[in-house]
Amino acid sequence: MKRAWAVARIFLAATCASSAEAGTRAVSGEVVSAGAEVAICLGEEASLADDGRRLLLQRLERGRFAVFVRDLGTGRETRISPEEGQACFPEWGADGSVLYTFANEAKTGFAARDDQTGWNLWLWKDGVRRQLTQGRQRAYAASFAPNGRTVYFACDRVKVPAAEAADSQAISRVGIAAVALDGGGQRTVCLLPESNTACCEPRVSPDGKLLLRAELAKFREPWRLVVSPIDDIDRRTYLTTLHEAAYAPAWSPDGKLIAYTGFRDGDSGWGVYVMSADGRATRRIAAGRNPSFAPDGRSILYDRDGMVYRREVTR
Amino acid sequence: MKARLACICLMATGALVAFEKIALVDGFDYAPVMDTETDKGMRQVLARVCETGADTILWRTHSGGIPRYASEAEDLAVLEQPLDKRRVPLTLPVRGWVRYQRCEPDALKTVYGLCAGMSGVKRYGAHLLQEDAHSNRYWSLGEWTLEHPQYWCRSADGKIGMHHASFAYPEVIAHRRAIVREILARGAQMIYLDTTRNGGYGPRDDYVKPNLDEWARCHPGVPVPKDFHDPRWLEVVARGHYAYYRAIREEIRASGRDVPFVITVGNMRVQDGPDWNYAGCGFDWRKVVDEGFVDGLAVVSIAADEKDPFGSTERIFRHVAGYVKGRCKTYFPIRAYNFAKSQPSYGQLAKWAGVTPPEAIRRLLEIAARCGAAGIVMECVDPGNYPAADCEVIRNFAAPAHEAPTTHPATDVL
Repeated sequence: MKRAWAVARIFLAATCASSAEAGTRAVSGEVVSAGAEVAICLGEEASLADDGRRLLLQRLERGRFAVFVRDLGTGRETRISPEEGQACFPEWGADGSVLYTFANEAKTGFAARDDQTGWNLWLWKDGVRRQLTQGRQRAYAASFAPNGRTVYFACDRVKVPAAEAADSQAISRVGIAAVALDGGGQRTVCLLPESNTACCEPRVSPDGKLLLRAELAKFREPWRLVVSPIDDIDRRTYLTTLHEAAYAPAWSPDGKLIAYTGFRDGDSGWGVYVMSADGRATRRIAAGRNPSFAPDGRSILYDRDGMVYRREVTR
Repeated sequence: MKARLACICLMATGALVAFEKIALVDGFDYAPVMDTETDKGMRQVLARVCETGADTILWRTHSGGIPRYASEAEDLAVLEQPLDKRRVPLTLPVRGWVRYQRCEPDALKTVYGLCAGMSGVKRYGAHLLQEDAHSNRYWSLGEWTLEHPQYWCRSADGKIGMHHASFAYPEVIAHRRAIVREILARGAQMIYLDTTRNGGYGPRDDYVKPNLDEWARCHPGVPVPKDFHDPRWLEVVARGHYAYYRAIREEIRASGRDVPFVITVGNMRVQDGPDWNYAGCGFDWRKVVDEGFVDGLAVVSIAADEKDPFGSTERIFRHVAGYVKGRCKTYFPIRAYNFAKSQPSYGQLAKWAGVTPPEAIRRLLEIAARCGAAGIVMECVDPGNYPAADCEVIRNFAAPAHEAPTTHPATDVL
């Protein structure tokens, strides 16, 4: 594995925006050409099931987010999350299960000060819900590893409580943790050394070798996309520069493309970008955010102003 | 006889008003010890604040850019962490979990309603922050700012800074103006703009396109200075700030109510040229006074001399009062917090002078009154500061009534 990464790293270093602080950036190019935009339905954070017929999404219902599966053939929707509380950031598992973040914070912050509830990960399959993480924390923006047995997620309680209590500045930090579906506790995968930093939205490459995520390394800096070998997380290759903002990355099914939400000078707002996985070519394909590839890799879903859209892409 | 004549003259030119004792209140800091999301908790906070003798209560309306009330200017649905994954959650117990924007009825209306019913409170209003991200941290970034990267700051070398949306964009000012509108609609009787809480922003972050265009227009052929301290650059950046202050003034006027607009300056010292506020916060306080943008200038920190703490304090106060010359009210600080040597607390001044904290407060109150201040600002009244003996001095201090400025200076600039 390390040897494979060494080869990949040489390639990436030669081609990517790397960790250079200024100036370098992926060049714009015809990484894909995009077809017409098609509106699908109200919702956000949408993704298609492997069968291409079911759409997973979150949507505001009476001021609270909930997670639904929509049958694209009939338009019929099934609510995955409970009626009470809020649910967000849904992801498909390979076996048709659904992973999402859920909280039911009915009390005030003061009244709930001794509670062990928070925003935790839940798994839904065939109508049965199971809680994956526990505690007064925020576990969110999760995804499955390709093996389908490990879940990676962002978490604001990645440090041990004693260390956190001793560090009064550790008031705002998000790292990446992992949990195995077949048991075992939550383990820390990635954490930047200072407070006011974040590693978020972990996405393991389809071959299982790389961990892609968004990182916020310092105040006055924007979110950037970073990739590392999954067994050597601190060997970072930056895919975007400090002259743009980028988050919400998603691999194409074949691992050759990365879609993400980005902003560059001259843009009117957030947009959906597609880059080659080596960071060499990037193209903005739509106004919107939270992209995901269809299972066949031929289209990208994204949302804008609470509406889900789809756009064909050809390479 | 002379005193009587003087009194008659004062009454002829302007109203005599009492010495004001302003308390800045950050309800968030009470969250670990009181249930500040409820009517009961807010009442407890206000009771504690009134122990200090404060007669003007300025309630902090935002955590950075996150409103502590049901703001119409923000998308409330995604303010709760972690619903917007671009915001880094605050992990502190209790404070990381409060949701003032969800309070029913509206939290700010509730506070103002409670203030209105308190006998010692003469005025209540908004402690409004200039910042988009509190204390240089991303947990408090407002939703509007996150949603509009096209207005984010830029460093001199073009790097994006998402910690602040630049006032060089009219859209940003329009958003800020909407915030003032909804605060006024909730009953605020004073708008107190805290420019020293600027979330790490400064003119070094404001190399945005409108400012670069303005530079090119004003200084054709001259390269944009990389050193943001360049007075010509500061002057360009400050225009956006002045447009913001004008917009606040216009919004207050549109409300049809007599609501004073006060702006803060920090790290004050005897200095004639551009000072810390210009390079650190983006505006020249002298210009703010000259142009009549505000009804009051609140000095919130002073760079007192360790060797002569009260003498140097008085010289600084006189320096400010001498420049203002009654064109707007002035307020001087009784600050509990010792953020830096250049911003000493009254406790620090006491240590330097070898006196007790109550004695330091007494001296500061007397200096403020002697220098013609309209009042003092307590920065900030929290659960554990301003102990009883210190509060007693503030509560019992009675300065002679002074003359209010006779005109609303800012109306002249609209």
